[in-house]
Amino acid sequence: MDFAIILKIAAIGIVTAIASMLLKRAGKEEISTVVSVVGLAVALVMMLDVIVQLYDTLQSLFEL
Amino acid sequence: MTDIVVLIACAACGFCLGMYAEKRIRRKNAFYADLVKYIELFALNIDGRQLEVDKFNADFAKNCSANFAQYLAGDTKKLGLSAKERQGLEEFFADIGRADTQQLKKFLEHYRAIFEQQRKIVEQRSQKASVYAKLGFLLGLMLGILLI
Repeated sequence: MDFAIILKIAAIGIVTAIASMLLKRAGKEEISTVVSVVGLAVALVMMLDVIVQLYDTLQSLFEL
Repeated sequence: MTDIVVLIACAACGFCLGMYAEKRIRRKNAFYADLVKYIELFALNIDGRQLEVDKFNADFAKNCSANFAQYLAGDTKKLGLSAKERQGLEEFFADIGRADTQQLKKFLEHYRAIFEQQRKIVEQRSQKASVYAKLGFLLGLMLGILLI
């Protein structure tokens, strides 16, 4: 697995957390929640390739 | 090297967009502050110097924000006002100077209350406007991370 993707997801997580905190301090809790959900969705989409690879590996390993 | 350039470029673009949004709100805040001041000084003008509307506008435009001076000159583009706000302003400036003194004072007081309320709303938004630049920077950074 490419190590870079872990760093990317970590960076996305940090940026999302900071953005969410800034928005909460500005009194925009609803937008903060949306930003958190979007960050989570982006991280999941980035993980999608890796999950598909895992699935294929398991499939070939257990000859399913 | 290319990745770093892309990251910095995206973050910078996001920051610039955030600054632009922040400046729009601050300009709108200055506009409404000048509008309320305009009404107050016009009310004093009725009893005082009694300048005509055009002369009063020319005098006032020398000491107000660029946006408000632009509006007084008749240029209403790029002021960041909604359609409803524009309509309210058009109604106000269309009827100013058409009534007798007493009616004009009531008219000015009525609109001063309306615009003062709007000014307070815009002022509250302006106080939190600094978040837009930071948010723009962070979202630009996020986009850069996704692209590299």
